[in-house]
Order: sequence, then C-alpha cells, then structure tokens
Amino acid sequence: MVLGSVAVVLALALAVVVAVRIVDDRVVVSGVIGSEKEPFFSHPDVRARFAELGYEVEVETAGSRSIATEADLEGRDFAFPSSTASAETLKAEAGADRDHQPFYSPMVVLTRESVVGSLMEGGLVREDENGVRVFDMAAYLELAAERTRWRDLPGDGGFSSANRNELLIRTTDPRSSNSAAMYLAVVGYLLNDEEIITGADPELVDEAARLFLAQGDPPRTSQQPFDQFVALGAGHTPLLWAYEAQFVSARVNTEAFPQDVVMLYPAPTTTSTHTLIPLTDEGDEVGRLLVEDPELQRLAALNGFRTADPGQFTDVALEHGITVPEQPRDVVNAPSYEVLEGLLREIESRYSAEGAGAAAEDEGEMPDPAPTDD
Amino acid sequence: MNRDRIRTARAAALAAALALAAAGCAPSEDDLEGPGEPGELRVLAGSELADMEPLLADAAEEIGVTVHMDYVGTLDGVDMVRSGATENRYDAVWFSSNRYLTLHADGRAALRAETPVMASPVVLGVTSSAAAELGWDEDAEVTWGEIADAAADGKLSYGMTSPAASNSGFTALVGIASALADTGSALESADVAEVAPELTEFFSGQELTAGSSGWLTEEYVRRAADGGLNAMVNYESVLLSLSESGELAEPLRIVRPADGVITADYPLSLLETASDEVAEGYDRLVEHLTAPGTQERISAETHRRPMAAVPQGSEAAQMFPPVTELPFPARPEVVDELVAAYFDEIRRPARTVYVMDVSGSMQGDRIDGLRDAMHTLTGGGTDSTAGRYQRFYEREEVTLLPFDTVPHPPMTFTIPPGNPAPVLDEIGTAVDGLSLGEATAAYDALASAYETLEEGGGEEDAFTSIVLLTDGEVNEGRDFAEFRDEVHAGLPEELRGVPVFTVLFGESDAEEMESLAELSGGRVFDARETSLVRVFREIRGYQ
Repeated sequence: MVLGSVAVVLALALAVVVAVRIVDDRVVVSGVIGSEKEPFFSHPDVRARFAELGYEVEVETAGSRSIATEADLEGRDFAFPSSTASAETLKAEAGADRDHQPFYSPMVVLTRESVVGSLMEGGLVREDENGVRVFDMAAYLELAAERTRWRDLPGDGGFSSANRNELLIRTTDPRSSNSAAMYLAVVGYLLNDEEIITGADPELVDEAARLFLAQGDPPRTSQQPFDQFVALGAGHTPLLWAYEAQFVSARVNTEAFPQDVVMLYPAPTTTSTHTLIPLTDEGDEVGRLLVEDPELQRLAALNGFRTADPGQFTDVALEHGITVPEQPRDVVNAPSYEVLEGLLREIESRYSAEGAGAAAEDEGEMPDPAPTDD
Repeated sequence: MNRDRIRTARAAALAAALALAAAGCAPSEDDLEGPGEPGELRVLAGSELADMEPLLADAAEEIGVTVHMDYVGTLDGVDMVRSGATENRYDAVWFSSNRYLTLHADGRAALRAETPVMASPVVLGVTSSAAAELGWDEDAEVTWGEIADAAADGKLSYGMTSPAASNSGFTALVGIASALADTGSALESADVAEVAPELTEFFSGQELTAGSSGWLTEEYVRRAADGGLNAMVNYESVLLSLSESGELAEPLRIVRPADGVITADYPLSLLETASDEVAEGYDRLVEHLTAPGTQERISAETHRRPMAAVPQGSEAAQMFPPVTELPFPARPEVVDELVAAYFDEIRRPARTVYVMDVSGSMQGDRIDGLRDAMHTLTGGGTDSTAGRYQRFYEREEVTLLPFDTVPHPPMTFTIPPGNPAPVLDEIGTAVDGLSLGEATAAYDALASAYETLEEGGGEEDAFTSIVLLTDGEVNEGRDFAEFRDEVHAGLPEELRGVPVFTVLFGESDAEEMESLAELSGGRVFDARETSLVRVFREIRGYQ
C-alpha cells in the first residue's frame, strides 16, 4: 500500500514535469480529435499559424463517439469531438469546467453527377430557389423501407441494370462515430413522426437499425468512407453521409478532386458543433485561439467549417463555385445524449448474434442463429 | 543499406516466427521485441504485401521510417491480434482487408488507426479463348450468376484460394454469395441456406484450391498451359500483373462482374499497443504512402487501384474501370456460417490419403507431434478462428496409411454430414493407436496410397491429394527413381495429377521431397522449424 502510494506520487510528479513539452521554442500540445478535422490540423497554413502563436499541435484521430466513450485521454491536452452531446459526457468525465466551439458543420449527402439525375427523376432530389440541391430524407426513408434498388429508379441510378444494390446511404459505424449518430438523430426524428425522439421505441429501433445493418460492415471513422467515395467512385459509394466541411475542404484544398462530386443538403438535416474540451491549461489556450484568433478562424473556413462570421464560409464556397445555403435550413435538434446513447446501444446489440436473434423474433423472418463455437 | 537491413531483419524474424509458432507463440526476435523504437515500424503483414518492400525501402530513405515486415496467413494474423500476441512484437498490421478482424469487438478495439492505402477488387480472369466461346468480350456485361451457369455447364474450370486460409478466397466467397443471394443488402444468416444451391453450381467449376494466392497463381500458370484450367478468381492486381508478366501461354480477359465485387482496401493499421513515438512514425509513413507520387508508383508497380481519384481519360482510368461494390456482412456469425457451409456442403469435398511414417525414429516427440497435428484437424482444442476453419469437414474422406518397413493397411473414414463427431473421434482413436516399427519404405507406401485411391471409388468429384510425412531417408523398398519410373509414370492420368504434399520433418531428404512434389504438382511444407500442427493446418488450404 505504502509503496503503491509512493509510486502514484512519483508518477504524478513526473506527469507535471513532462506535461509541458517545448520543441524549438514552441509548446507541444496534443489532442485527440474526430477524424474529419484531421485535414484542418495537418494543413500547412494552420500549422504555421499555430507556430507563430507559439504552439505545435499534435493530433490523433478517433471516432468521435469513441473519444467520448473509450479514448485514452491520459497525457492529452484536449479532446475535440464533433458533437455537443459527446462533448458534454467527456466534460463530465474529465472534470473539465469549460469548452470551446470554434466552428460547426451541417451534415450533407454526397453523390455523383452520374447518379443525381436518377435521384431527381425519382423525386429524391430537388433544386431550391438558390440552386441548392436538397435531398428529401422522408422520401428516402420510404424508398428504403420498400427496399428499393438502384435499378428500380428511373435511369437505374446511372448504373448498369445488373447492379443489385439497394438504394442506401453509406454511413460510418454507429458504434464509434459521431457522423452516424447524427444520421440516427435525423432518421429517428422522421421515424418518430417528426418529433425529437425521447426513448428507444422497439419499432423505431428496428427500422433505424436496418438502415445501418443493411449497409454491411461499416467504416469506423468518417475520413475512411470519404476517401473511398472519392477514390473508388459512384459504384463503390453512390450516397455518402458526410460533413459539409469534408466536401468543401477537399474541393478547396485537393488539386485532383473529382469534379463530378455533388453535395446534397438533406431535409431535414442536423449540424455538428465541433466542441473542444480542454484537459490542461495548454489545451484550453489552443481552444481559445481557435475561437478568437482571426487567422485561425479564416483558415477554418478555408477548411470548410462554418465559423462565427457566416460570411467567411460562404465567401470560400462562392470563390470555389460551390453552391451552399447561407445558413443550414430545416435543422433538427439532436435528442438528449442519454436518449441517443440508449438508441445507439440498442443498434449496437444488433451487430451481434443475440441482437440479430431478438430482431428476428420481431420481424419473424430470420431463423435462429446457427450455433457456432464461440 | 536500409534495404539490406530490412531483408536481414525480416529473414531472421521469419525464422524465429516459424520456430516459435511451434510453441503456439507469436513470432519473436530479440532485436525486435519490446515497446518499439521511434522511426521504426514492425508490421505483421499478409504475404501479398511483399511486393511493397521496394517502395518501403525507398520510404525509409526519404522519410526516415524503417519498416520491418513479417508475413503471416491472414487468419493466423487475426488470431494473434485478437489474443494480444502482437503486443511488444508488432506496432502495426497490414492485410488486404481488416474486414474479418473488425467484425469482432476485440479486433476493433485492438486498432488505434487504420489508413486504407490502395485497393483491388476480387474478380475473375478467363483465358481469351474461353471468354470468346462464352461471348464475354471486352464490352460484355457478365454477372456472377452467368459465371455460375458457365461453371455448371462445364465451360469454366477455375482456381480460387481457400476462404479458410487466404483473403482473396474469403473475399471472393462472400462477394459471390452476396451477388447470387441478390437481396440488395448485406448478407444475413437466412440468406446463406437460401443461396447454397446456386453457390454449389458456381463452385462445381472449382478445380484448384490453394492456401496462398501466390501458389495459386503459379499453379494456374502450369495447369492453364496444358488446358486443365481456363480461369482464376483472384485480385484484379494479381491478374493484371500476371497478364503483364509474359508467363501465360494465353492472355487473360479480366471479368469484373456487373452485379458487384468486394474490394480489398489494404489498410495499414496501427495497433492500440503502439507507443506515441512509434505512432508518429506511422503517421509520417501513411502520409508518404498516400501522397500522389507514391500512389502513382503503387498503381504502376503493383496494379492496385490508388486511394485517390483517378483523372478521367488517364492510363490508370483505362486500367481500372469502375466497379460496383457489394456490401460485406455486418455480423460475424453470418460470415462464419457461410465459410462453414462452403466447406461442409457447397464445394466439392476433399479426399486425402495421409501417408505417415511410423518408423522407429518417430519415437517420442515426433509421433506425439503427429498425433497432436491430427487431433487438431479432428477438432480437438481449437478455439482459434484459424483452427475452427481448418478442421476436417463434413463429406470429406480421410485415409490414414501408416508405414514402416512395409505399408500398413489403409484406414478410410468419411465424415458424415450433420453428425461428424463420432467419425472424427474414430480418426483420433486410430491416430492414438499407431504403433512404431523399424525402417522407412515411403515410396512403397506411396504406391499403396495410389492403389487405395484407385480402388476406393469414393467421391469422383473430390479434391484428391496425398500428404506424405517422413522423418528420414527412404531406406526400404523402392527408391525415388524407381517410384518415378515404375509407379508414377504408369498411373492413369487422373491419378498422375493428384498432388503430393510432402512434409519435411526430422532428417527427411529435402531435395528428394522437392522433386516428388514437383513430379506430382504438389508442394513442400517445412515442419523442421515449426510444429506439425501448424503445417498440417496450412496444408488444409490446399486440400
């Protein structure tokens, strides 16, 4: 016991000594972030600006839900998940008394020019008075409930009629990623007769779970499916649930970004408010700078984020020929953290044999899971 | 210099890996054991990634991150990660996909970061003459359903790796099942039984199985030359590289089925156990690997698709036409059920004669090792994924043919569908009852094995092979030359094509075993530095 205490004291002392690392006169600050913000932090101009301000910011990515529920925060100066709900839990867990919200981003659906014609003819997409293309989530849910395939749409979705796939939006893993939780907030609202969900109604869970499970094995972080969407084309990922910032940043900052990518604004949608939780004084300072430093705010807009000054983002979009709404419209508020977590846990259980068995009883269409050795 | 260092470390690590596997341990090497060094990355990789070594050697020069690659079968690698055996030995894993690993919660938890580096779909290569006969020209849309029909009509004879041993076969099985099930969404348990009849048609055309995609390719080249095979299921990258190699008598037409494929995305994955210093090197390496210059080089050298948009009209766009991706199942048990159904019901069953040395020199550890190996295949004590997938399957015919001074009478078992346990127990009992004799009459025993196959009847359609284990020089009965000229040369054609998988063990004559494997179209497996358990499991991929 005594020895144990000594070791703890020593460890604490050491932690204090090594907490502030200085390299080339810069304070090294480390944080764990949602993967969609990685391009921002690794952007040369952002790094240069932090260097001018006396900081070197090291980041490691994780699914935003993992940050809230699993990530090892030891030795980190801040955590930077993509939702206020995750941030609230983290704040409570880490005993932090403040947060910083430097920017936000609405959720969008990405597709390709070759697909969008079919979507418009199928009544899923329309253009609003400002030329913004709007994706009708309620119409989508109806088609998904009917298990509509791409070949059932006028023009086969731009694919060969041999394409067998259902029309499904690709999301990240609801077990780990915030962007999937945002999707659940929107579809949950619609499945709940346009009311914010307040509990895990079994029928709603079934319908929502199918929208995830039918897609198959999901990508863990939001960067992964975005990269695959860009690299592997419409046949790989016809519809992707993503952050507006991911598309705008890639379009602005990637030279060879494909010109045929189309951004659709789901109606309704929800927004992700990126919230930095400081874990040390240095982390707090980085959060403050992200909010208050005009240059960092400008760079955030260049990386596709909407900042406190709405003009910053829309100017960037205009300059690069991207049609965006001035303010996100038809925004659904996310349910409370507890409700969303409860729903996510129900859906999580469906990824295993037991959860699948429970679902089968409800739907009466699957046999007992065959016995396996494990 | 860097490259030499990588090679040396790799060779040493590989040897150590093989040696330690005997004790059921993870590979290890003194130099490489421990928490890891900044600027170095110890990677446990699938063997198909060996073609990345020149690129990695250059990366070491350019960015100062030295990569040590050790190679392991995918499922064995998955088991190592899930059991924590990679800790203090590896910082990262790199397989053609993480799909199997991340279906399991402990697999997902073991990864700290994943970066897909490149991509290649699993597709079908068909000889140009077979493609012409089937009307599959360059512009034709071909579905997996049509491929299944062609196989059922006897127009396609193809090779594919074992889904229990290799990622390409595993991915192919899942993709083909998803396409044929035609549900439009991720495969579910109920779909597996439903799609089994169509899968049986598809796999009626499978004439060759293999434990690795490298050997499959070599064997395809050999058998395609004499008309035995006219197609192969493999990564697009392997088929493109093979077409370019000039090794083929007849060019391959690559069929990318219009109803969809599953694409491997080669994620370089940092393990949760890696230190922050090592993680920093990982970050630099993936940044380098995903940079446009490196990506161009990857697609030029390995024919894998770049993980970046390909400019329209470019050479790469020509080489990599767009494909439709099929969903990979979301639940691990669906995949397990599909693999079990493939072996127990769908594919043609295996028929194997185990020709086993029970001469006096097998006394002690050696005969115990042999017994352990056979018990592993009958299902004793295998909790691991790999062990579970590599057991004896239903409908399979297993013959034990022990020999010493003379061949003993063969003992043949057929594993009945639905209730395999009693017969598996009988095999176990028979193996335990083996008694040791004197000398080593391996070639007489081999001759007797062919007689057994000829007389036995059994499943005509089976994947037939012989496994020969001998721990010393053949010192009784026929010698190799006599066997070759008097026995093998006189065999009926279908028996002459039965591969003999020879196992190097104890003091066996490596050169002669190599000649024997080559004569029969088999392969040598080395159990001198590793356990028979591991080798017998590895051979399962070829049966």
